[in-house]
Amino acid sequence: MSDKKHIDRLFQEKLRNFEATPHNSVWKNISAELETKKKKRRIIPLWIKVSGIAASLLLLLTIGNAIFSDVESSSNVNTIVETSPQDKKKQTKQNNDLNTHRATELQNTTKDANSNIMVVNENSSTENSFHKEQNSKKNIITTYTSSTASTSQKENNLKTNNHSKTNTTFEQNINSNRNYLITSNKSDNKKIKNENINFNKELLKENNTISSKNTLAETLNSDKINIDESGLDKIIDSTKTDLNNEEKLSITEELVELEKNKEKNITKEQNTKPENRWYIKPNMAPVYFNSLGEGSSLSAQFNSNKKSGDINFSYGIKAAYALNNKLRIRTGINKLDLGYSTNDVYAYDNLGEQTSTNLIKNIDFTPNNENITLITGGSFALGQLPTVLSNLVEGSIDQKLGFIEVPIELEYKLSQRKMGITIVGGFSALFLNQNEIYATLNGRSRLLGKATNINNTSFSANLGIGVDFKLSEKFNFNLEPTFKYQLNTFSETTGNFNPYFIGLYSGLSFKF
Amino acid sequence: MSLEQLIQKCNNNDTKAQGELYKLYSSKLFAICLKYSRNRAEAEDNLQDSFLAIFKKISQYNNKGSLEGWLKRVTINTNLQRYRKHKGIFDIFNEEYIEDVTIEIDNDEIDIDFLLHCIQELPDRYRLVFNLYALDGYSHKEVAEMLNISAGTSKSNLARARMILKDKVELYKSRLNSQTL
Repeated sequence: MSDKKHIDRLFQEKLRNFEATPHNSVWKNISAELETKKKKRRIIPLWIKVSGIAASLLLLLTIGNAIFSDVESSSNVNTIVETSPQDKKKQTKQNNDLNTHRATELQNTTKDANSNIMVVNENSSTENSFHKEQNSKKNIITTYTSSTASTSQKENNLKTNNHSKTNTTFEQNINSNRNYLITSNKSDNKKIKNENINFNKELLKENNTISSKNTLAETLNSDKINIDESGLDKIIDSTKTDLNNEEKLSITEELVELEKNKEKNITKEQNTKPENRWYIKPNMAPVYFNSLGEGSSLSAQFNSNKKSGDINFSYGIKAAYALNNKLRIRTGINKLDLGYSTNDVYAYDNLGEQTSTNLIKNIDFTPNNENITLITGGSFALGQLPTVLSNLVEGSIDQKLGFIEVPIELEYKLSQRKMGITIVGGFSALFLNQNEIYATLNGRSRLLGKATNINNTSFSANLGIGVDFKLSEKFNFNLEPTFKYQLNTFSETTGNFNPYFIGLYSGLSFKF
Repeated sequence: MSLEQLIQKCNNNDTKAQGELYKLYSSKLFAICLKYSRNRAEAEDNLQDSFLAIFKKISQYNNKGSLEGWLKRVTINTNLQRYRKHKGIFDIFNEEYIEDVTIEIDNDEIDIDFLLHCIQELPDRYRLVFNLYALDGYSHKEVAEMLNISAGTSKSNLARARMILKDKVELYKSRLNSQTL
């Protein structure tokens, strides 16, 4: 019997109750995947948290650093400018005193100025390069000025507000003078010589920069000025010459300073700015290992047993490189021993009674220990302890682990006094090199085997606070309590087993 | 153990419960995967992905609607995810096909494996549209949304799928007849 039907209907009817059995491998794959996911699920949230904290810390540090360095550079500019008003005050006083000897003074200053101009031309061949150099040397100048005249800096800081306006105009003047010094070194002088000083007067009122040009010209030609001065208003002249002298002196001061710096740069460049970018630090620490939360790395039956961490020892060497004044990146290598005990566990030999149920899958027993059974004291009611065990006072399983630790950490300086404080954050790679499990009964311990659930390579998230005591320029004593959270040291744990260790690292760092 | 308890346990990542759920529904869901996939191997892959998705999302199942319906939807979606990204070159067929797609055939004379094979051999888009619309009862609008195409495209894809299937079944029938004669 065949009837005409829609193609959809044919398929619908045939496939309506269609079922098919997939291959067994499908479920195996699924369960394997679920198993790995469970592990991942346990690890991931803390990973995210820890790395989140680390990332935000890094971000904060970099932002903070950017702000700090900005502030420094802007203050640099100020200090450079500030030197001139400071000098100005002193020099105006001097100038007032010396007003009577103006002519000779002017001659002297012009000589100075001329020589300085020569210096300018010789030293940097172009003032442009001076500008560039100045930018690059701003920091050096500040360090220089701060080291030589820390008191004057304070004064300057106080005065900056009052003189901020004059500073800027002075800066302009200086700049224009400089430009003038290059461009109109000789040829312009001649032209300006011929210019009328009445015109100069107007220019002075109108434009400080041009006036400074002109006044400079005047000073360069001291003879003329003397003549002009006699014919001109003395007040204007005195202010003018004051200005001249101020500017000249500030320029000469600056030039002298720059020259000094140039000389000192060679010696100071290594010492002042990037002071000792490197340090190495042999260190050692007592480390205390334990777990957050209730759980066991060995077996679920020990989850509620009391765990006690051992205090072990870690030692190694670290090297750090300063990225800038605040931030260092460091790495190193450390030998690390960790250990902890699961208390109230009794080990006994079954003597051939093969009770595979008691075998703990996370322990790989050594050949002659295969019959050992581990039982938690908690599984017996009070007074029901087997007679074999009744006379035993205490038993425990001790797990001993050794790692080679390779940290990568960032150090951020909070304070840079004699006692420096740093925050340290980063990660360590842990390479397993010792793995032993002992059973201890009444103080006698016996090697049972090794744990099977410890990853050969694992990681820890580190956070610490460092305190530096400056012993000398090169040597620092350093104390650094650090918390290290182990991320994936154990692959199969039961309960809520989150291992960590705390170390009190101390060391002697050598800067170079 | 009631279904609700089973779901609850699956929710807590109880491996045993997950195995139980798999036993209960794997053959039904595998049938879906076979229809939506190109071949058996891909169907098994898709079944695996579907169950992983199910165990991951089981907390989202709210005990309204039937569990089976929910499981089927997750499975279909998992299958779609794999194939809908293959942009068809068939989008150019936008006219409606109004050809006769009825066929004279006896249900008993046709093998289910053959029908399945016919579906699997369809180009990805046609296969998905045919499955969704003809076999799983979604409307063109829904199909269009699920596959990120227009309803018109869905219709024309369906028409093309029907044509191909009809040709195949007729060829099969004629071979069958020639054998019996």
